[in-house]
Amino acid sequence: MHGAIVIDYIHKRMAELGHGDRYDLRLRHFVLAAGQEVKNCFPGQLLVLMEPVEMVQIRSDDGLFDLSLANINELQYEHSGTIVMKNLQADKPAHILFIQAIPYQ
Amino acid sequence: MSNKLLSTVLHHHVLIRRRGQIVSFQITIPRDVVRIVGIETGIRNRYCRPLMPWRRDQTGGLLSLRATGDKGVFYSSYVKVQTNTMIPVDLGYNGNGTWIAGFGGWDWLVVNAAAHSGHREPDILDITAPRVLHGTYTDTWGIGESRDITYRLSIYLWVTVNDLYNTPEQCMVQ
Repeated sequence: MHGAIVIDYIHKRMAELGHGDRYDLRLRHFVLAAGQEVKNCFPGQLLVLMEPVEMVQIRSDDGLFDLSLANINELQYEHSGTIVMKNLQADKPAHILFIQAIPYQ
Repeated sequence: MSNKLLSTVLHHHVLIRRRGQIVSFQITIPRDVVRIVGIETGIRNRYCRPLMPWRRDQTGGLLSLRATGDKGVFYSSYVKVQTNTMIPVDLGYNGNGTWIAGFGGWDWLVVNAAAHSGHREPDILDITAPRVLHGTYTDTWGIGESRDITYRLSIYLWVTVNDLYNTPEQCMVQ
């Protein structure tokens, strides 16, 4: 997904959620070691995946992103709350890029 | 033209085919719906028999619903499999060879009548109706049975309708 589309999406989504333009943006680049699973908590914040990542599973209350699954009909790019990221590769690290929207209140 | 609030039920169903399947779907809410007051979910087990010596309560999977214009999940619950199987205790068998309800065990008339007597109630929601509901359903029944089970998840939304919208002029706008 192109970065400009993500920024535009976040702008409209935050307005839809009632935050208007009262939010900060951060670019987050997570690096997961081989087989590593990390759990991060982003309460009230929005994290949108910038590009599809293979051999990585991202889980949150909003949904699931995992390109290796065959029994799912839709993947979720937008996550919030508690996000669990797992590197499914056993031999090399994984890189995950998010744009994070942090509302003022 | 009438200006009154009516209640009705919207129905949506989701088809599950494979074990552990994760299905995302959308439910479009009609424009004249103003509130969602309750939800009822269920899975009808097609494989049951009317009378069996045992019965297992089974869980179908996890259903989560989100509304447009809002973040987070407003409804998340495991869906039970409705098993209309009767076990002898339901028919008055007291376990020591006698029947206490005045009828014999394998009475097909009684079995069929009792199998349709399940009682259910909707879960209370009471939220403003969004334009679209986004739902995610994760199957656990097929994983537990270690096979692909094809079934339908039924979702019944109890809604309040503002009948003011249902004028000929408004219907033309829609």
